Amino acid sequence: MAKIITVVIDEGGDQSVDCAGYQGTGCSAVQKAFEAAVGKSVKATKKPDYFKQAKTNTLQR
Amino acid sequence: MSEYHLQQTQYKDRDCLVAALNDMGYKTVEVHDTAVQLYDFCGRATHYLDTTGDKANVIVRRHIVGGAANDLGFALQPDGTYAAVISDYDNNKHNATWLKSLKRSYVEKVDMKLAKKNGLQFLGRKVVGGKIQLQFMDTRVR
Repeated sequence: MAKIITVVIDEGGDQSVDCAGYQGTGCSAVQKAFEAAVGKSVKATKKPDYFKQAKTNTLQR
Repeated sequence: MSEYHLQQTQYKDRDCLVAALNDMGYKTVEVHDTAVQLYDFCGRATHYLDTTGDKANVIVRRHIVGGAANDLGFALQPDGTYAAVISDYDNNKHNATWLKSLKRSYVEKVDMKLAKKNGLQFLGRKVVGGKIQLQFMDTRVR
C-alpha cells in the first residue's frame, strides 16, 4: 500500500498531518518531522495501522 | 507613530521566511547575517527597542512597503527564531490577519522544503475551504 502524507494548513497557519499506509511508528516519525520543521506541534491522530504494528511487536516478544 | 514593537514568531528558516514575504507581495527583501539598522518613514534611524538602534536581519524597506511606512524587520533571536519588528503605524497593514497569512505561507514553504529534503514525491496542492492541502508520497524504503 502506498504511503501518502497529507498536510492541511488552516487560515491561521496551523497544520495537521495525516498519514495513510504507514504501520507502527512510521506515521509518528513523519508527524514529528513536520512538527519540528515548523517549530510548533501539529495535530496528530493514530490510525488503526499504528496499533496493528504495535500488536505484532508485542506478539514477537 | 513609528515606534517599533517586537512580536515573537515560530520562524526559524530564513529562506522560507523570505519566500513567504515574497508571496505577500514584497519581492525585494534584504537579508543580513548581522542585523542592520531600521529606518522610519522619514529615513531616520530608530531607537525604540535598542538604544544603539533598532536592527533586524530580514528587512523590507519602507519604500517597498509603500506609503508613509517604516521599515519592516525580522530580527534573529537567541533561540533561533526571527521576531517581527513592526511599527505602530504599520500595524494597520501588518496586522494579525496579515501575520496569519505570512505564517501560512511560511509553513507551506517549510513543508515543501522538508518534503524535498526527505525525498518525498509531491503529488499536488489544493485549497479546500480556505485550507491549503499538500499531498506527498513516501517512496523511501525503510
